[in-house]
Amino acid sequence: MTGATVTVTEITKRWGETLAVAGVSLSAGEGRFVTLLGPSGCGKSTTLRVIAGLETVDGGSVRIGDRDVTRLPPSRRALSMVFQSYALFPHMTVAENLLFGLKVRKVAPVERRRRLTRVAELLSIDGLLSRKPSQLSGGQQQRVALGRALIAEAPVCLMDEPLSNLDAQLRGEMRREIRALQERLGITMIYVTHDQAEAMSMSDHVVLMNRGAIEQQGRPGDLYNRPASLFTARFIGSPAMDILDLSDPDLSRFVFGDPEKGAGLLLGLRPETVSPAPGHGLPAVVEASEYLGADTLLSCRAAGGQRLSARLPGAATMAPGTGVNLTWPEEATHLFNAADGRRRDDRLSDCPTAFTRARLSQIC
Amino acid sequence: MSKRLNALYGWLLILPAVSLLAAFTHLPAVMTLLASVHSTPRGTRPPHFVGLDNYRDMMADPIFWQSLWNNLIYALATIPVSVALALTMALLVNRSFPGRSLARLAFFTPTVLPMIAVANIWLFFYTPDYGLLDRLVGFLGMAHHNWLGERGTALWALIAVAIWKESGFFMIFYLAALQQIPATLREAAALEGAGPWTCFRRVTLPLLMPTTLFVLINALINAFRMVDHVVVMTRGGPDNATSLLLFHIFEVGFRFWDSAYAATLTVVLVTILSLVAALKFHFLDSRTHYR
Repeated sequence: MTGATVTVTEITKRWGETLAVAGVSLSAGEGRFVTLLGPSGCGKSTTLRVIAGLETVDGGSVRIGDRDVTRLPPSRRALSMVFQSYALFPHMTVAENLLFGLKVRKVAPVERRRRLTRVAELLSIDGLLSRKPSQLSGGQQQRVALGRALIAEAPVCLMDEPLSNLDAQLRGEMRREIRALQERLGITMIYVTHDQAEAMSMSDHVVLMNRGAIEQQGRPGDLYNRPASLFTARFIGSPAMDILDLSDPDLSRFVFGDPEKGAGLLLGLRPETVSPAPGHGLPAVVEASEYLGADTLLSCRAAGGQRLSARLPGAATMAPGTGVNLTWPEEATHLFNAADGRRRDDRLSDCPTAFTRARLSQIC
Repeated sequence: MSKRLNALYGWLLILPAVSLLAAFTHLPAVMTLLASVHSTPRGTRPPHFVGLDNYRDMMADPIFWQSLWNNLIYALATIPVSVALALTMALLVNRSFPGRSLARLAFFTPTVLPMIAVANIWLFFYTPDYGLLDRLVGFLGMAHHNWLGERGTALWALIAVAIWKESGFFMIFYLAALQQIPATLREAAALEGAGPWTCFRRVTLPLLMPTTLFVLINALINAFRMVDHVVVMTRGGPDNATSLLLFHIFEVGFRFWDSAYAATLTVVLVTILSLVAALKFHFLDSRTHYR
């Protein structure tokens, strides 16, 4: 089986007065893993359901392969889906669940048996085939749901938060397993999640949604390294990026060498880029230090009461109240408009080092 | 607290329930059983033990057999039709369309009406010559009927009333059960390529089995329990064509005052009901999926 391209163009979906999806366009190439990411209520699930054909659209179109499927029922779109609740048929055994679609589609019994054996081995659920879903653990149910999606051998697979009901360890295992299966089978995957770590680790392409529209899309690294807006900056990365107000004259002087220049701008800093620099950094006071094993997260308060954190390797705990000077490399400086949250790379040139200019020319 | 005191509290707490249950369920049941093996007290003659005489009389009573046969036809006709109708109505009003609550209300109204009122309404429908049904039939150019007065149609006329009255009630159970089925199951079935009919047959119907079992048992009990419309519409006539078992018991007990024979008939009725219920549970449980 091979994947098919999914192209969504300017789709709109209304629930009464509210606009759930407002002109979303995205494309998933053959065999690509595309994630729809966003907070709850951002329209990611609705977008997925529109692609599946479970919701009708108020505008726009959906194409799978070279067919316009916008008006086709779900069964004729040649796709499979894994639901958040798994949606296993509770009155059927695992084998019956897996074979349901094949029987409905009148696949020959020999072929059905071949595919059942293959999927059961692929997901190591051979031993569960005669059980009912209620006799399975959450993780096993998840595998069966996955199996039901794979057995159809559809070129496109949709997943709606499939891992959200699993515990953390199992979730990590399943992430890797789903990604490996997707790559091995070459299917096109559209995956919905609210967990940014899941999106970053699994996807070829991340579509970050906010309030029914696409906030930013690109490779996971693009979203992490160059967030186009404050929303992306805050949503991607854990612990989250710290946002500091540059209208504070002290901070503005530190960044721009001028107390006025930072007015109307916000400074974004990722904790992993911030480190102590005795003598010449931004003065701050340690408020708390969290030891996380591999590293330590220092929560600090800078002049003007603004919070920022530093992620230091190892057990670098410091007592609360300790004074530190913090600095960060020039390329880790993210500037945003305070008014609309847009990224302002043009203002980086106001920073007094040549380093920044060199980097800007590299990007532009 | 000592063990004994604890036990005392326990008994005191269940005393109200136990005394009510004993006084109004268990005691009457035992009394009925006892009454069925005694003679009917008359004037100065107290009841005396007669063994199975009453049961022997019953076997020779043609009206008993007629009533039992009538009741069987009545049950076999009302139960499948009203359950099928209930499911159909539930499926209809489970979808969203303008005026849905009005439709639900309309289907449910017959349940809310007292049986006596229902019987009176239908009495009008069935009135010969100027009743609704005869008007309709006359309009179509067919001969008039005395629906409740002819042996051939009287029982079926009552069956129609019962179906009309019961379907809405059973619909409510099906509606509640349908709303319990997660929408994702239907969506998953649709994605797997199942059409509405396959989805209904393979997914919805099996998941409704517990409700169907419940409804079937209720329908069966109702088929032997409803008697009001017989009293209002036909009084068992013509020529016992509409005499149901419970109506026969009522006649024997409160018109002929033969309380011992009425008790005998009651024991038989209860036995039939328990047997059928036990059979149904046994037969349907094995193919019913409970969550």
